Amino acid sequence: MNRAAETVRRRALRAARTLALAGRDGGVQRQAPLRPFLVCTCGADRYGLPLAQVAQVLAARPVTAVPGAPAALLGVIALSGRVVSLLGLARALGRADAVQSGAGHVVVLRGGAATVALAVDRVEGVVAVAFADPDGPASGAGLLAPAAAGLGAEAVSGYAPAQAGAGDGPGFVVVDLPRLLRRYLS
Amino acid sequence: MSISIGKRILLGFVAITVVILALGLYALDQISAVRENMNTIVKRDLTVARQLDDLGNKARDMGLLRRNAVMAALMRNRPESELTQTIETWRRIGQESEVLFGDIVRTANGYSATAPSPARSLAWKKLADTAGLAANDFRQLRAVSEPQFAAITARDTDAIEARNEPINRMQELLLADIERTREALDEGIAAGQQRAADIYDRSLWSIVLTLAASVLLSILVTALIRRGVVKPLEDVMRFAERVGDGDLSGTLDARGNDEIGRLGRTLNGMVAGLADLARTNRAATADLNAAAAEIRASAQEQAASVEEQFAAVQETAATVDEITHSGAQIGKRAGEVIATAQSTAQTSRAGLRAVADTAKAMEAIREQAEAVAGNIVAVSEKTQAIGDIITTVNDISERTHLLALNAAIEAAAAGESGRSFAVVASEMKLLADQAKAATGQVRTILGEIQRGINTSVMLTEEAVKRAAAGKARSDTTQRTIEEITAKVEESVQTFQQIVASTNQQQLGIEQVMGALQNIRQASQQTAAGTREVEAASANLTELAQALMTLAERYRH
Repeated sequence: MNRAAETVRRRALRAARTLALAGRDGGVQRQAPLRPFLVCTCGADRYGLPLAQVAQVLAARPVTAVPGAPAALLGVIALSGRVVSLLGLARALGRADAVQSGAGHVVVLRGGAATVALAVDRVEGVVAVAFADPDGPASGAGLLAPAAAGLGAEAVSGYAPAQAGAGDGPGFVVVDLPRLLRRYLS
Repeated sequence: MSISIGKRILLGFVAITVVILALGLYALDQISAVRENMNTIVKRDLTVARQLDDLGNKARDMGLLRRNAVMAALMRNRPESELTQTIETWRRIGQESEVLFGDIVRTANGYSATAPSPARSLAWKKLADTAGLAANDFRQLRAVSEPQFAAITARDTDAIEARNEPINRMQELLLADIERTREALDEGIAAGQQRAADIYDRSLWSIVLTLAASVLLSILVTALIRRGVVKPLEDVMRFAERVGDGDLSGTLDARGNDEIGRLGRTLNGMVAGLADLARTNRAATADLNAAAAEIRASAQEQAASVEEQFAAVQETAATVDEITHSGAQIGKRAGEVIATAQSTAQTSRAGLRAVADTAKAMEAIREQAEAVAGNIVAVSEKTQAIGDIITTVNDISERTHLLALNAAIEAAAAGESGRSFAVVASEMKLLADQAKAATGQVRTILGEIQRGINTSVMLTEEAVKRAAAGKARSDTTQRTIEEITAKVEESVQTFQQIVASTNQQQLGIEQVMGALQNIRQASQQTAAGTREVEAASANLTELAQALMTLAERYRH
């Protein structure tokens, strides 16, 4: 009995994979201007980081606290012989800090004067979103401006609704990393 | 006021008697005074009147004798001796008249001195004076008559004739004097009558006044007696009437030492005694009433209980009768029961064998369940190993996930040339995610399996316990059936004894029936007696209530 159920389950998994592969090709061809985002979760919130500004994704590792630092700066971590500042993404955005240090994932950013890493609960994956024209009316399927989405935060450059994502999970908030980091790097 | 009533009445009677006696004596005294007065007046007046009559007669006789002598002298044929005799007679009568006059004057003067009233004294005085005057006139008449007689003797007719005229006039004067004296006497008589009338009037008034005084005294005495005797007596009578009406609460105001006071004290004592008696009587009557009511209630209860007893005796008789019948049936049934019990003993022996088989089967079940439990424990240990493997797989899938993400990042950084690599990275990530989901499912299933194993372990342990309990119960049942068998055999013996006892019981019950018959008769007699007692107690209660009503009359 157990064996039969396992067989059925494997068959279903395979069918789903086949379907996903078949569907992806169609989607890519259909949508020309796409922007990839690395989607992370902090508590109940989902944030999208522009993939071009991400250098690496790591599992959480021990953090050394820095005295006199701002609240968002959790500390520094050692990464391939370098010392990298670790910012709590939720704290930096003014949200409640849900994750405890030592668990979750670390997103290492690239570019900028100093290397910075963001501590998130979990990195979900990469999602490509159609980059909508900011001057045009909201299509409903693309990236929405913060004002149109009802958001007023400075560090948020847009909102991707659920339909605009890769089809798994709800929508996410696109974070304007340079504007976010300006506060801590200046 | 401490004089006794008898003495008071006696005092009043004596006072009235004394007053009446004094009145009578006074009246007698007055009557005797009147009589004496009248006697005096009559005696004196009659004496003087008789003397005056004699005087008048003598004066008239003297006149006649003188006239006869004159006539004889004038006729001249009369002898001398006759003339002399006549003149001698005239002289003798004249002497007697002289004495009479003196008597009258003396008597009148004496009476005047001893007269009881001034009027009479005056009258006697006047009579004496008048008589004195008449005596003077008489003496003058005699003196004038003597010469005529001398002439007569001398037969001197002229001298006789000459003397005749003044003598006649003197004679008339004397007669008038005597008449006046008589009138004076009449005045004295009138004065005496007046005197008598005065005495009578005085006596009358004084007697009337004394009578009125004695009447007033009598009224006073009567009023005093009334005040001193009748009024307190009326108080006592009112008190006695109140007592008679049943009011024993009051007392009489008994002061003083007289009969009324003593009577009041005696009455107070009597009323106090009566009140005490009434109180005692009332209490006793109330007690009697309560006791009578209790007796009645007891009698009624007794009657009811006797009725119940009678009914119970009847029921008992019926029951005993039934017992007699059922005793016979008991004997019959006991025989049947003996037979049944013997067959039961056989059946229980068969049951004993079956229970021993059951105990053996239970023991086998317990051993098998213990084996099952051991196997399940082994399976559980295996599932623990599976859990460790799943943890490892999960770790690998997580690393693969990050690796795929880094690959995607590198592919994105590579730009257009990394696009196909991005596809591979995406595929890798998908596989990693699927592996993670699969491990999650496996973990879930494994958790269910472990829960199932735990449940199975518990159930198996329960089965082992129940099997053990079943074994224990089978053993108990075996012992019980052994006991039942023993008891059934005992019961057979017992029932045999019961049959014997029932036969004896039948004999005893016949005796009981006879005794019950006696009891029934006795209870019938008791019921009749109780009814009489109840009626008597009802009468007693009525009597006690009547007594209560009587006792209620007396307030105290």
